[in-house]
Parts: sequence; structure tokens; C-alpha cells
Amino acid sequence: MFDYETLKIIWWLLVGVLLVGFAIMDGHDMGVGTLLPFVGRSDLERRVVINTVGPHWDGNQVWFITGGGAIFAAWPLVYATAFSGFYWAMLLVLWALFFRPVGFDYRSKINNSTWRSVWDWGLFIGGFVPPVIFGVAFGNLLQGVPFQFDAYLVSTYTGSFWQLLNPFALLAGVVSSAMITLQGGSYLAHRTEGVIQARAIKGAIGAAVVMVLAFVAAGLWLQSIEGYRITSVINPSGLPDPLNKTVVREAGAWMANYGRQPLLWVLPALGVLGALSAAFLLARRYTLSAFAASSLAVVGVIGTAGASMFPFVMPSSSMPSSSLTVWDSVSSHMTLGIMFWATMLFMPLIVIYTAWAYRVMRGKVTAAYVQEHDHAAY
Amino acid sequence: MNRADQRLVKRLAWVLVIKLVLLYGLWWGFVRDQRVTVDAAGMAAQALVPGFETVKGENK
Amino acid sequence: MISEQLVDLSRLQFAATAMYHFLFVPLTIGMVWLLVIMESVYVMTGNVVWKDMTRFWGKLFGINFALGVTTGITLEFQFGTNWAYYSHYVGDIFGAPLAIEGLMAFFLESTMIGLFFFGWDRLSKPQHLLVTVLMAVGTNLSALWILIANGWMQNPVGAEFSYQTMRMEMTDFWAVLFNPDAQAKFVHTVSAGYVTGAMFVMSISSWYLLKKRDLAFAKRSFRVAAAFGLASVLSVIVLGDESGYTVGEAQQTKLAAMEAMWETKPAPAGLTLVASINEAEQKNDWEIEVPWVMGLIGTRSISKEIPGIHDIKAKNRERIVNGMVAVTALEALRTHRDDVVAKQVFEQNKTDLGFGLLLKKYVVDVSQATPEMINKAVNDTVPRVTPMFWGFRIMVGLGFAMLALFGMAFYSTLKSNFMEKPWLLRAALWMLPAPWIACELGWFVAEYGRQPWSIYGVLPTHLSVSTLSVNSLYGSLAGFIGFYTVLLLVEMFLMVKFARMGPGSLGTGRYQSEGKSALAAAHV
Repeated sequence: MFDYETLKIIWWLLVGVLLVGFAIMDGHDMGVGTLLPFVGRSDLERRVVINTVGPHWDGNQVWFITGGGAIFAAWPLVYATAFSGFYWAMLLVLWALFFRPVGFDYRSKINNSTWRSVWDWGLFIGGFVPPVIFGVAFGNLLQGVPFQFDAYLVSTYTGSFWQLLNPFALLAGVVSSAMITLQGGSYLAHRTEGVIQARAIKGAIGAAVVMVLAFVAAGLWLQSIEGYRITSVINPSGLPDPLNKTVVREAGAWMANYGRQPLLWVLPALGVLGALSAAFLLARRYTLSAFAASSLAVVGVIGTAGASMFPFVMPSSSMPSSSLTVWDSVSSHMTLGIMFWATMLFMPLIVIYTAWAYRVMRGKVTAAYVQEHDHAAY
Repeated sequence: MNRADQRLVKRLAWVLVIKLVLLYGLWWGFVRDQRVTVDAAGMAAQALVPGFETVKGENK
Repeated sequence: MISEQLVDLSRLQFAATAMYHFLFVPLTIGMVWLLVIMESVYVMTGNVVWKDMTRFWGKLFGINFALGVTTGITLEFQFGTNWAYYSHYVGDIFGAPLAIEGLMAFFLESTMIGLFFFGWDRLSKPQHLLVTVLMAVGTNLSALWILIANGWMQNPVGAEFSYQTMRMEMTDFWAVLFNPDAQAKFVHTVSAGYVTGAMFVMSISSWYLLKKRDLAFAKRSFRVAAAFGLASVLSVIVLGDESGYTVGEAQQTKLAAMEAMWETKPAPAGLTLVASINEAEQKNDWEIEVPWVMGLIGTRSISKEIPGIHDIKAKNRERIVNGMVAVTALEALRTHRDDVVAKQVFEQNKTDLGFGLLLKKYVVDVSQATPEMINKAVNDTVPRVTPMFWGFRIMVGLGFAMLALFGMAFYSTLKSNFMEKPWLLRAALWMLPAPWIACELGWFVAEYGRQPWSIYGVLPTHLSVSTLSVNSLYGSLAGFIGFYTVLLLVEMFLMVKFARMGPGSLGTGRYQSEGKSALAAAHV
């Protein structure tokens, strides 16, 4: 088995993979939900849009659930502190997500326009709200949030929900929402045709432009944001002890990793170039390549944030030495090892049968299909 | 909506009314008075050990 | 100190959201196997009525599944949002089964359900059947992992407390997996799900039979459900017995409360059927007992005694006193890590650490606990007897009533005379709620019976909560109640509407309640 230090780094990467996987997979059906009221202007058009993700959205949402479970298993102190600290943000995400299973399954079971319209807006909420909040959350993590531990490691969060809605975090929310909309629009362009496809492409290209502008702006802003730096000597393979370190805050600290390892600049470059390529490819109707490019942009954006913050996961603005890092908020060596092997075993299986599901359902979703399967389709 | 569905909606509406009445009853019976109580008994018995103060902050 | 109101509201919210989730889960777990059976017959015989059965019951399955997912996401995150200290303290062990549940089970069931509904035209018959089977495997594996997690809460094996990291840490993964508590719970709970699925199909089929509608469809559904139901209810009762045994081993307070066993009786103890419980005086005013049965179930022997509540409390008093020493030593050790004496004292008493933590409900510095506080903590160690005693008995009573119903129903299918027994069909219809009531009571007994612990003997519930304000809890509780109420009413509207429509809702043209006027009824 790997040594403790290696496992800690592996788990930082794996959580990243799960977050990226979530944004690519569930992100595209959330993007579809975000675009739904705008690209689908009639009941039939909206059903076409919904049926592009109908068979897949539930499996995709499991990336979110498993992501949460994995954070619980690998970084229990982060799971505990972040989820309780961001209480109202988490509840808003949860309640927005409630609209999805029922929206997808129940919407077309009754042929009443008010009923269907309500669920369409529900699907919009379920697709639009979570990415915004996740972006806002990331924006706050980059600034640090006020929490501290006592000697029993009971955490107390002293911020409010409204404090989360500060300008930098809102900008991060814009990046996130635009990125997800691009992802959804690219997917939609690939699975639809005619006027719906045209609208999806327009929406996706617009989202790509917004995303790149906001992402670059956030990156420039980040230089002057006070990042975090550990000043005490860390034993990476030591037992997790979050109170046993000293941390300073200084402007530009989040750029330190990029300074030390210039290769990391690939990540923000991927974010920008991926989005621009996706827009370019969409304009030329290379929809599958556009989806791939958009997915690479997702890798780039999330990777950028993660690489900036490493080894910090959840910095504390009120008691910096209480900050949670990759070294001191982890589970035991044994748990990290077991979870690593479980993930190595099941992740490939998941990818294989998910790919099979997409393959079985491949092709354009047409109005004719929906009309033919009125009772069975969503 | 056909008649059977209308009847069903009416019945579900009654279920909702009954639930709200029960919830109100539970609130009235168990929760209403709680507003006044602050952990008085606990407060009296406290002897704080340095470093082990568990500060419970407000979180919105 | 943590406000008691915060703890109570957090418990109420978890209980409400968990029990709400469990309205949908057993039906999913059970009905999916009925779908597998029906579709298997279709693939083997090619008789299209079996395909219609799979698709119609599958439609109702889908209406139910949607709320199962909705209410399930809440729980995955509620440990972190509302039980943060618990998540830190035991996450090293508890987090793993939850994550594995996602990797092994949720991905499988959620991916396959899409193909189940959408893949009929694109998959061959054996391929689609495979999808249904995998969907069943996924849902049942999900139960396995969450019950391994809950089983560890009841019987925390394979883990040790570390003073350096101030949490429980896993020492033996296989012990956690093969925890007898978890294994018994798993089979018992999925069996309960199978009973629920069977009752659902059998009840609704009985309604069609009473109305003399869609008889070919309804008769076959009734037969499958009756057979599956009988096997399941036998399983749930036997495994309930197995659970009783493991509880007797690992959680004596739960068993004693469930049985209103105030005094230790000479072995083998009798089983109290009914009793008039006097909580104030800590005794039963009268009781009706069946000799020997409890001793046999609870200990599988005729000589081993089952401790009564008074004896358990006496033992717990000793543990609390040792625990005080452990907590004080731990706190000294955390302040000065090289305090060798403190370390020694702690190591000697650490098995009772949790019992010392019980006093934190009354005083922050447990070494200052007064005799009155210790008495209160001792009394806290046993849950309230009346709800445990009656909750358990109602659940078992319903179980045996369902055994009678499924037994008669199955027998009538062997004799092919259920159409001539309207009383049987009406009984099946009226007993539709029975499995739901039994399931919820079962969870109540399991979870309320574990109090005052969130992890039995290790972490008290009152220390497990997140440090949130009471107002936040009122707000979130109101939000959940509001959303869940509306969603459940919507779900019930659709479920009843489509159940009433029957297989005609598939639009195949083969069933009653089709034809222009009736199908138009689906269009509002």
C-alpha cells in the first residue's frame, strides 16, 4: 500500500477528479436545465430538450452524491466544517435539486400547460441554482471563511450566509454558471437539430464569451487577494492535527504554486482555450468536438482553483492556523487506502456502463420521437 | 380534469388540512413554550476548563 | 454547552427526513425484484402481457423512485450540515460505507433506470432484462452499505479512539463489513422492502380483480406478488429474530427497553406480550408473559440471563464514574501531550470514555459533576420504555398479520380460487398501509432505542450536532416540511391516478380504461 503522504496527495487528486467528473457529467444536464426555458419555446420543443438528458441525468447526479460521500470518507473534517458552515448555501442547493427528479419524471405525465410550465421552471431552478452556489462557495474558499476549532475539534463558523455573497465570490459564481451553460449548450447542440440546435449554439457561444471574460477577470483579481501560506514545518506523513501549524495571509500567495511549478499555467490556459475552441467549433457545427473542448475547459477552470489553493482546502479567515489542508484534515492511513482501492475498482466500471448507456441512446432527439412515444417519453 | 381526478385532489386537500392541523397542534404542545427556556439548569452547573470552552456561535 | 433545544431540533429534523425517505425506499427495493420476475417471464415466454406488467408496474415504480432520490440526497448531506461533530468524530469509519454506497450502488441503479425506461426500443429482450436485473442489484447493494454504516452506529466494531486526532479510527475494515448487527439488519431490511413491494402489487391487483378489470393482467400480478410476499414475510420475521439476538449481544439497553424488562429474570426469561408500564416507578403494573421465549430468542440458550434495566443502570453508573476519569485524563493529555501519567490513566479507562462524555450534557468539566448529575446521566442511558415496547409490538403484530394474509393469498393462488374470495381481496386492499407502518416503527425502535448514543457506548447524541443557531434549525425544518409535504401530495396524486388507470395508461390498446374518452382523461 502507499505511504500516508502519497495517499493524501492521491486523495486531493481524486476529489478533484470527482469534482471535475461532476461538472462535466451533471454539469451538462444542469446546463440543459438552465437553457430549457430559452431554447425550448413550445411544449414539444421543451420535451425534446428534456429527453436529451432524460435517460442520463439521474446517473450523472450521482457524481454529486458520491463526491459528497468521498469528501466525507477522505476529508471528514472538511465535510463537517464546510457543510455546517455553509448551512444555508447547502440547503439552497438541496432544495433547488429537489425539483429535478420530480420535474423530469412527473412533468409530462399530465397534459396541462400550467402543470408542465411549473415543472419546466423547476428544472430551470434545479439546473441554474446549484452551479451558481458552487461557484460562490469556491470564491469564498479562495478568500477564506471565518471558522475555528476548540481543543476537541468542535468547529464554530462565525460568518453569515449574506457574507458569502461578496463581489469576488459572485464573480466566481458567474464563471461557474457560464461554464455549466456552455457545457449544457454544447451537449444540446450535439443531441438536437434544427431551430433548437441553433438556439443552443447561440446560448453556448454567449456563455463561452462570458465565461472567458469572467475567468480572466477573476484570475487578475486573484493576484491582489490575500491568499494563505503555511509558515511552520509540516510533516506531510504525520497524523492529521489541524491546530498544529502556523499560517500567514499575504496578497498574491495563491500564485505561489504557479511560480514554483510553471507547468501549472497549462490549467488556466486550458480553461480559456477550451472555452474559445468550443465556441469556434460550435459555430462550425462540430458539436461532439465542441463538447470535448468544453469539458477540457471545465478541467482547466476547476484545476486552476485547486492548484492555486494547494495544499489548502478550506482556509480560515478568522483563525488562519485552523485552516484545513490536504495534510491535516484527512482520514486515517487505513481508510484512505481502502477508499483508494474501492475507487480504483469501481470508477472504471462506472465509466464503462455509463458510456454504454450513452451509446445505446445515441443520436438526435427529434420531435417525431417525442410524439411517437407520448406516454413513455419524458 | 376528469371527475375522478377532481375527487382525488379534494381528498388530498383534506389530507393536507389534517396534516397542518396536526403540525399546529404539535407546535402548540411542544414548541411554543420553548421560546422562553434558556438552558438555565445547565448554566448554573458550569465550571469551565481553560481551552475546553466550546463556544457556540451564531450561524445564519 | 450545547443547547438542548438545538439537539432536539436536529434530532427531529433527521428523524423526519429519514422517515420520509423511508416511505419510498422499501417500495423501490421490493418492487424492483417483482419487475425482474415479470420481465424474466416475458423474455422466456414472449407473452406480451408480461411485458405490459413490467412496463405498467415500472411506471408506478418510477413515480415512487423519483421521491426516493429527492429525499435521499438530503440524507447524504445532513450528516455534514447538522451533525458536524459526529462527522468528524466517526467519519473515518462511517464515511467509507457511504462513499462506497455511491460508487457501487447509486451509480449502477441510477444509470440503469434511465435505460429501463428509455431503452425498450433500442435494446434486445435479454439486454433490457439485464438492465432491470442490474437496477435491482444496485438498489439492494445500496441498502447493504447504508446498513453497514448504521450497523456500525449500533455496534462500533473494528475501531479505536485516538487521542492524537480526537476521533475514532478504523482498525479492521472486515470487522466493520461483517458486523453481525449489520448483516442481520441488511437481510431484515431488504426483506421488509420485498414485503412492501409485494403488498403494493397485490393490493392494487386486488382492486382490479374486485372491479373485474383487466383480469389477465391482474391475476398474473396477484400470483407473483402473493408468492414473493410469502417468501419475503417469512424472511423478515426470521431475520427480525436474528436482529433480536444481535441486539441482545451488543445493545442491552435497547433490548431491555423494548421488552420493558425492568428486572433481570431468571434464565430463560419469558416474553412479555403486553404490559401496563409504569415509567414513574420504573416497573410494570401487570404483564402477560409467555415463558422462556425471550431467553431463547435473545440468548439462544436456557441459562444465560438477560440483564434488566435496573441492573444495566447499576453497571452504567460504574462506567460513568470510570468515564469521568477517562475524560479528565484525556483533557489533561490534550493540553500537555507529554503528560505520561495522564496517558496511563486515560489508557486504563478509555473503554468508558463515551460514558464520561454523557456528563457533558450537564457540565463542561466532568470532574465537577455532582451526584445529581451522575444520576441523571445514569437514567439517560436507557431510552424511554413505553414507546419502545409498544412500537416493537405493533411492528411484530403487523408482521404476523401480513404472514397470515400472504399465506392465505398464496394458498388461494395454488388452488386458483382467489377470484371467488372477495373477502381475501378486500383484506389485501385494506392492508396496503401495513408494511409502511411496520417499516417506520422498525426504524423508530432501532434509532430511538440507541439513545442517548449516536454511536452506541462511544459518542452521545447531544455532543454530535453542528454548532448552528436554533433559528437556523427552525428555518431548515420548516423548509423541509414545506417541500416534502407538497412533493408527497403531488406524488400521491400521480400514483393513485395511474394506479386507477391501470395498464390502460400504457396506451397499447390492449386494456380497459382505454379508448378515446378514458385516455382523454389523462389529458386535463
